[in-house]
Amino acid sequence: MGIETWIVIALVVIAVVYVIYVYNKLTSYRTQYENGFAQIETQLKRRHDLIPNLVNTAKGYLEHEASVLKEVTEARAAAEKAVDAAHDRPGNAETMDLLSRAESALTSGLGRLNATFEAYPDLKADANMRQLSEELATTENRVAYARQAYNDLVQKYNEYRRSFPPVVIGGLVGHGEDAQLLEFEDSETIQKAPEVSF
Amino acid sequence: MDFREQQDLARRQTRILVALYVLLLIAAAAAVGGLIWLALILGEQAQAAQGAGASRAPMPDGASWQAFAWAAGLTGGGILLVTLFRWFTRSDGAKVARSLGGRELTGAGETDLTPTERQYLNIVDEMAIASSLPRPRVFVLDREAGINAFAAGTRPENAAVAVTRGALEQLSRDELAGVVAHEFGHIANSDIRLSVRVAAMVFGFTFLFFVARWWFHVGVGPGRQDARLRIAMLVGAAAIALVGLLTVFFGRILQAAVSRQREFLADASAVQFTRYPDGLKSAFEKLKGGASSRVESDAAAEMNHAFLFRAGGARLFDTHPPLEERIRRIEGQG
Repeated sequence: MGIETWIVIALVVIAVVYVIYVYNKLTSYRTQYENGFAQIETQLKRRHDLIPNLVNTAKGYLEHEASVLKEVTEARAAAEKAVDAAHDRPGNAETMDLLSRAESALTSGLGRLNATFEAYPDLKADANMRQLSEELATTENRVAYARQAYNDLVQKYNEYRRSFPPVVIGGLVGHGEDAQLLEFEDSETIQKAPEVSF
Repeated sequence: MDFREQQDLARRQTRILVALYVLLLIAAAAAVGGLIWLALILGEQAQAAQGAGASRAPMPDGASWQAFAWAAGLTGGGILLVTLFRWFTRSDGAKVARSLGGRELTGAGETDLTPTERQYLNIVDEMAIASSLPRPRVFVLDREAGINAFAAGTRPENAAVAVTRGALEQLSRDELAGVVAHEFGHIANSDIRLSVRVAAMVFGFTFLFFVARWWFHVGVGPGRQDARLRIAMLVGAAAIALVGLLTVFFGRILQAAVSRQREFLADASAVQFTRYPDGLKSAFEKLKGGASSRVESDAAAEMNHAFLFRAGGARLFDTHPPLEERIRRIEGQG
């Protein structure tokens, strides 16, 4: 065989190795953001689990505010469904959007509930309620931090995927689309959750 | 800011320091060896001057060089051994925290936690998520009324964080979160390992004091040396002690300078984790407003570099930058 043939073979081998390298890197980044989403999921579940407790504790004091409690309970149910949907397809634009809207609704419901509590000093003094409020505050923070970590990982994946040449190779090997960031409408409120005063 | 990058930087800094250490070690070993060599030459001259050469065989050729090699080798080896002794100790964060009077909070099945302790545990869990680190072991220093905190442990897997009772009582949730985030910054940036190693290297040179003391004893001790040799030995002992003093002195200053840089870095990491600079800033301002950061425990002096604020000690060897400067940098970042 002539030297030209060897050069062609060498180039092909280099190209194949490079494609494998890019594919592995993309897949590793995807696994990372999927793990990042699993973290958010854990923390969102923790949040959802706290709400029945909160509603039950508040019920005794808030007999005339049943509508707010009902709203929170319903928002929680919707959010749980959204988490389940997102669980199967993390990073997907549609499920992330649904999750973002459901969690935002839950956050604003909780915000209204907090505002209601202001009128009930007995409830604010309740030992059980104080502990719940700390649990809620820490959970909001955990959700926020887990979301930051997830978004950082998604950003890393997207940036690499869009760079050249991965942008060409990615489309061929099942990495043709950006992963979706998870933004909550009231992310500002979530960040500030520790200031919630019961 | 990328932690991988920061950890690489810490590793690079360690390598530079190790290179500096090796140079100093060679210099110190050569200095001691040279003094021995000089003493032998002087001794020979003294004997020759007294005319004692006739009654004793003259020193064989190369004996003074052999003495030089032995002295230099023993000194270098001694410094190295003392360093290695410290290099690998104090690796376990929980042990360090206990030695400072820390009480562990496990957060698993403890029912008698106060609300602030519960909050502290929650904050640690939050920061573990924010920093993507395993959760360290958590301690409270019950006997300390000042506001302070530290991280210990040379690897994330054996790390511990501790805060004083004063910090739990006097800081708000946001402030405590900033403080805990700062300690996580130390863990994430491998600061504890770096400072342990720098301290070990500085400590190694204290071996020179043993050498100096030994020379001194030989110099004044009984023997058949003449006065000139005795004086030479004493001068040699003083010279070795001086070399030791200088290396330890500059080592301490270097150690403090490294520590101050790592404090800034940990502050920056804290802001990155919490995305909320006001918490740590407000804790600093509380300190500036007159709250104490003093740590009473005797073991604290050696651990000064690990604390959030200075636990005490002199200004030149300060392991922490001034509060105003730290606040200014956090503001610039936020």
